Amino acid sequence: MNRILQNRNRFAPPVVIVIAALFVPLIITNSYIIHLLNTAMVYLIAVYGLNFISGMAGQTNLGQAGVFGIGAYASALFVTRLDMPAWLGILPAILAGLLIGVILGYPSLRVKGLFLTLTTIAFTEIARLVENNWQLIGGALGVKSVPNFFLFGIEIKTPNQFYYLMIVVVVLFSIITYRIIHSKWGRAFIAVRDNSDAVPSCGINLAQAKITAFTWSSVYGAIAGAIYSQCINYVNASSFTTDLSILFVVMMMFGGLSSMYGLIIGTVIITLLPELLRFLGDYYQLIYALIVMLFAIFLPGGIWSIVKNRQGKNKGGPNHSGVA
Amino acid sequence: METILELRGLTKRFGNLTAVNDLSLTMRKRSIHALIGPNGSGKTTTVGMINGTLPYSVGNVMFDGEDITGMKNHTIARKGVGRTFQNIKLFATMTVLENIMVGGHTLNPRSTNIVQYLFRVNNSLREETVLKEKAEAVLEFIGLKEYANREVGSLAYGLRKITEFGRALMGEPKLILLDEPAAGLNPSERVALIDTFIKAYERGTDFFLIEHNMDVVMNISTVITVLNFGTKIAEGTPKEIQTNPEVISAYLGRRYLKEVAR
Ligand SMILES: Nc1ncnc2c1ncn2[C@@H]1O[C@H](COP(=O)(O)OP(=O)(O)OP(=O)(O)O)[C@@H](O)[C@H]1O
Ligand SMILES: [Mg+2]
Repeated sequence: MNRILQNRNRFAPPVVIVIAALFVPLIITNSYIIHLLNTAMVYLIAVYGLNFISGMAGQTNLGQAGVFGIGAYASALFVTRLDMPAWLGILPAILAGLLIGVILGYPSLRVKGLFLTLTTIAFTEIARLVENNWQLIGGALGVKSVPNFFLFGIEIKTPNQFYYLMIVVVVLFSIITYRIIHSKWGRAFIAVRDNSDAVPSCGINLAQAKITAFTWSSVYGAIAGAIYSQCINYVNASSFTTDLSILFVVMMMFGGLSSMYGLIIGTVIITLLPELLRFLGDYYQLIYALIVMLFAIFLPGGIWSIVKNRQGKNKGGPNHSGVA
Repeated sequence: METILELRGLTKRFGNLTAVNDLSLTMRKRSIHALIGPNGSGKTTTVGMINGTLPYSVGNVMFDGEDITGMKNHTIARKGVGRTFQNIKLFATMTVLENIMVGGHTLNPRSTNIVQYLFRVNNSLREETVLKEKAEAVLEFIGLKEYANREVGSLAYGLRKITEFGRALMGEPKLILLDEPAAGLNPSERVALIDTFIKAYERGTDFFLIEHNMDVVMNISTVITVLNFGTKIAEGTPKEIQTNPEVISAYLGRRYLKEVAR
């Protein structure tokens, strides 16, 4: 009984959020905003992934845009060149994500953290340069007319249709992510961040834990890229810059590290921010940077930390006096 | 007489400082073996070499009849060597219960991978429940049950030390290396900690104990090895060590004087 109540407590908020999200297209009729929300949901998958390696395991990764781009290219090329159904494009993206995780993660995670930061920046830039200059995969033009998803014979064409598809995808990824975070692997990732010296003494292979987190991060990032290529129907290297990698990091930190609510809030707000601040015109970049900076200084735990701290205070717990 | 741990000519140099010099010792199964010595005499370094944290090129370590020289830290942990740290190394953002649960990774490290875990929902939920119940039992054992859901970073120092011991116990090690477990504890906390050690010892865990507090060392050790400048200067029962002139002049004398001054 107790357990059921506990579970209801835990599962009620997500259910409410999903139901509320279903009504959004009925209220917001501006299809550009819906398109932005779709983009936010695609980004969210990349951010969920980034959270494994950076948020939880604490290894700064500025390569997520490179992974995202490679996933987008792998999927778009596979679908357009081989004339495959759009959803099958997810498979080469997963494969690309796995390969990146192993090939890049293995050398860079066995040594100190800064090395990973540098290799991931270099990786993003190299990927972008290759994509931009390799004529065989479209060169500067990229890949055009990436077909839409078909679902039960219906083409996912309009922003609203894509929106509902993405709700399903995001729910699926949220469940998987939740289960990983609350598994022994999730705890191992956080252990790496909190105190990596103590990790091997617990029987955990430190390098392998980091590589696992990084590989899941890459697979998520590549899948997000694949979906993105179908969201906007083309792929172009100029979208996959280190700027985008930084944006993913900001989305992850803005809402609150390793809390899924925080990741959702951060990703949606940061994606919508250009639109919300559009009235500022030329001052947009400046104000945007200022907002992010102020948050980083005054709310290092992210927006979600406000809610969490309030909950924490109400919950209480035994105090220090009752020493065992 | 069976041996749980044997060091053969272990030597560790940091640059031209010899932190541990040709150290050999044999630790019996079912014993609490203490390693004492002045600050900087190489005790923590020795523990680091035993559990594979510190690489060394000279000497061998045998654990439970197996040569574990040069093995990785996590492999040695999986073989049954637990450890606590001189300067507590807990996972600060996790709860006490979660910290203990991480200690359970040694139990069946290769049982599943994440993909299997995701697909076999029932199996993985059961596995998680078993792990959690086991961790709760450990908390009960070390007397920290009421702190299960407290974030470790918010705990008092003494409780963190005990939590770290619980994390080591969770892995069901045959041997736990304790690096100054009583340091910084007040007398009543110290008594509680020793009681817990004795209980765990009686359940079958052996201890390799580094400790400056002579009350603790003399009361619970079976055998004591004394280090000075990285070299073993004496070994014997607590009684023999207390009356050994070299030990008194190198370590105990100063130490006892300090204790009296306090
Ligand atoms: N990583 C290191 N690099 C260089 N020197 C080190 C390193 N670790 C330890 N030392 C030196 O090795 C010697 C032995 O250190 P160790 O920490 O093993 O001593 P200890 O017996 O544990 O002392 P304490 O009682 O203060 O904990 C000291 O002189 C110390 O300064
Ligand atoms: Mg020491």
